[in-house]
Amino acid sequence: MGTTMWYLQRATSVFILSYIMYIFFGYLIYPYSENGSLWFNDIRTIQMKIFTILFVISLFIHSVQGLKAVEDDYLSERTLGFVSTDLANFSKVFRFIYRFFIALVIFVLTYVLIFNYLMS
Amino acid sequence: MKILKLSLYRFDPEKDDRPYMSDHSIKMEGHGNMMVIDAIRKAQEKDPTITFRRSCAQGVCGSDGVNMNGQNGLACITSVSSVAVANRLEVRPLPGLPVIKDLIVDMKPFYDQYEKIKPFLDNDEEINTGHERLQSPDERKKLDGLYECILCACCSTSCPSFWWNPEKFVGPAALLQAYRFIADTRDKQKLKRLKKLNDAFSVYRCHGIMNCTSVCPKGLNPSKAINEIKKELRKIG
Repeated sequence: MGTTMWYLQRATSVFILSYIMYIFFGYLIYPYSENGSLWFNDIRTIQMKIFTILFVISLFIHSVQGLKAVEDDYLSERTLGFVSTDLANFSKVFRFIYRFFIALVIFVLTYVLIFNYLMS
Repeated sequence: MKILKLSLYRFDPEKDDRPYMSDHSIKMEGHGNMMVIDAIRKAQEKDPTITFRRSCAQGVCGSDGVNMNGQNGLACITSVSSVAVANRLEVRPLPGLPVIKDLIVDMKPFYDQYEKIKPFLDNDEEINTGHERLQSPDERKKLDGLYECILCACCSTSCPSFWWNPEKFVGPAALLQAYRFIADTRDKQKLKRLKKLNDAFSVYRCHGIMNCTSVCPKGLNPSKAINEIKKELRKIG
């Protein structure tokens, strides 16, 4: 389990970096084409849609792992207790709000991705 | 004569509501330097209620691990001049462990992790050779830098991952010992040991901060041992 997570974290980070580099350098080399920017034309192609959805999945896997580590480390009863015992008593509430916020961001991003991008 | 302004962490759970720092002026006689443990003992001569652990005072037993001006180390082999800033020195208990009294911490969370890794040779094979289990010089060499750990807890208590998750993250000291037995060719439970460590916390919670290596009073490198364990874990998948 630990090793699988380790591989996932690294594999997704390589994918995220390669996507960002592609977009960044693609825009630098060809900022504009006849019908606007290369970025705008390119992102509507089926290959780019697949590349983008893989990028978003990688981003979810990578960020959820990182955010889970943040929750485990800093929103535990123990860690909040270092600051104040009152805060420690509300650790479950903080964790719930934190998870809710992350779930909301993922939901909104997924909605935008499906309805505003893939189906467009 | 130099005067050291020594500030000691004080907390007696039977008397005090909160911890506090007590200040002491220590005369640095002779060549103007001394070991931190001697400075604490001088303070204790004036105030016998100051409580701390010590045993050999030679950097061998590992019982006087404390935090000196923010850095963990053994008070008996750390000179005042190497840690004091402008002749001021703050001594606190090892961070992250429950304080029993003053500079004495409860080492149970640390020993619990040490117990988890089964720190002994595990080999059920019978010996019919008439002598002990042998190793080649190269096999023996792999254990150098691993077996010398004195379990002072300076490394584990300087590790943020151990502060936040002392029940789940094994910690650098115990992981150094885990690798000591994983690397030992006489041990026959390598796979079992590795499988037990293969979760999100036991080893992989180490993010390579390397505080452990920078504070180890014996000059060991727990961070390297942890990376070796990770390499072994990746080999087994």
